[in-house]
Amino acid sequence: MGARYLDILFRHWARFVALLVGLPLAAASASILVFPSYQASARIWVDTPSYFGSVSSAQGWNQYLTPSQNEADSLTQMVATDAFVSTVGQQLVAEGTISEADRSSVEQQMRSNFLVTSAGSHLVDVQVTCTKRSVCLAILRDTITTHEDWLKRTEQTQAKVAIDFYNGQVKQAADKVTAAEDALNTYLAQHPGERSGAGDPGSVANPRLADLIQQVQDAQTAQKDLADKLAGIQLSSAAVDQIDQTTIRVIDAPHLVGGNLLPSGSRKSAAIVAALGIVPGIVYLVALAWLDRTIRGPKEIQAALGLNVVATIPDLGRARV
Amino acid sequence: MSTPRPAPDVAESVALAINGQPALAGFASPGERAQPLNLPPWFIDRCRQAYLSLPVITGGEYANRLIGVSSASHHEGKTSIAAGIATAIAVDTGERTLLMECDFSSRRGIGEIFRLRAGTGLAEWMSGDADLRLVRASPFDNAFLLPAGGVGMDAARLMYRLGDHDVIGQLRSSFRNIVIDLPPMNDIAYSSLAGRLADHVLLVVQYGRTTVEDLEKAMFLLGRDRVGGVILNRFEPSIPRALRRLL
Repeated sequence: MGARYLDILFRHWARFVALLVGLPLAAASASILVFPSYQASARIWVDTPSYFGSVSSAQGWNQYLTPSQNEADSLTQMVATDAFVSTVGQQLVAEGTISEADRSSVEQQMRSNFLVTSAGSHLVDVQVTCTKRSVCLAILRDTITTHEDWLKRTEQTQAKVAIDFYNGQVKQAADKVTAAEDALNTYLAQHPGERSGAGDPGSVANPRLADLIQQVQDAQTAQKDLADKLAGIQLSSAAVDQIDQTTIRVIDAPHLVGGNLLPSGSRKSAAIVAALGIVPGIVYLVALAWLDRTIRGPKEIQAALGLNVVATIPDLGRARV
Repeated sequence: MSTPRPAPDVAESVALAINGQPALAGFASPGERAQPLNLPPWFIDRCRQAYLSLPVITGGEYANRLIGVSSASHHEGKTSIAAGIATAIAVDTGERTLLMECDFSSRRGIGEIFRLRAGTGLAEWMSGDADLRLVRASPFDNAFLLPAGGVGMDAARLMYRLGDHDVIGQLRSSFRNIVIDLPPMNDIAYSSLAGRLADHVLLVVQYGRTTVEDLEKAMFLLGRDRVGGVILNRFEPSIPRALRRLL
């Protein structure tokens, strides 16, 4: 059966060259010219947030994943949201990269053709495929910027909530310290003979006085702990502004993959179209083989009828009768 | 319609024709010769390969070959191959060999291959309308041609008489080798009758034209036992030789 297909292939070689080579090439060329597709890529380096030697985990990160996996996961989820994509779209319109009329289609391309992958423990590869090279680059650039802004806002909002909370706690602690000191001073005024024992409750024989001294010290300790926490959060909040320098760094700026002449996206589309272009040729070949019941060789006669071919005679050409 | 000549006349007239004696009443001139054959030597050699594959009836009075050549349809090359086989046998054996054309439907028969002048043939002789016409095939002295002639609507009756009067049997006594150019099996109504004239029939199949179904039908009409083999004609496989060896 294979020999029959080969025979048909070689017999109608001109047709099959046209169908199996010419058609796919033409289709691929048309695909590149009519439906250009560009692929842009950027690479981001992601570090675990670290401020003045104290390591902390970013909000929402899974401590069992690498920084790049966390970042890739976060960015992938963000791009899946309409709000994030819409923000990037608005930014593209504001920059003049696209018109308002094109926004929805660009946003759609972004939703379906945006790919974030972890390329190592800290390296994140971001790719997008679209129909205009400038839009591709701008989408990547604005996506990274918007994502950074979102991270900053999130961190700052959380820091502000924490700072407000700890400010209130510190104030309450200060009030407790004041109240404890007032109570101690009042007791000492009412009992002039008593001494505070250099602030050590263990060296004071009077249990009432020792208790008042202990209360003052506890209030002061609590106030100090809260003040330390508040200072740490304030430091983190201040560091959030430098998040692009410390946590996320764009190593490879957005660039087109495969060059401008024949970009990678177009090449992939062309390859797919070319592969599909071969199908008609194969269908034609199968149809010819199916419809052609003529005898093509001695083996067919032997197989079909069990008759021996006693001689094969080439074409007699002009001399034939 | 005239009555065919009786069988004994066949042997006598053939002997006279071969021996070159003056023609008797009712027989063609013994001096008629065909033009030299224009089939190439390699073609004759392939035809030789075909006839040598057939068993030969040996011993007794009829130690000879009676080979029919047919095909499923017209224009598949059977007449050329029949001529090639007859030529090869005549050259190889040096014995009297007759190429007998029994395809009354063919417009381009052995007359064209051997460039015979237009004239009568087997049909007219069997009908009693003309004398027997045996033509010597140049450049051989032992090869003879018996063209079919024109038969019109009586082909089936003629074919029946050919078998019924045992004309072939009588010819066998004069020719050690007889090659019969039979009509195509699937296109002619009387082809089954014609197929019975030969001991062995070689079926000509044209590469890229004859279908398996055509060949099956032809074989059915002939009878499987009578088919001595198949000749694949105009065999021009498209696959390059080097690739063909791998398959």
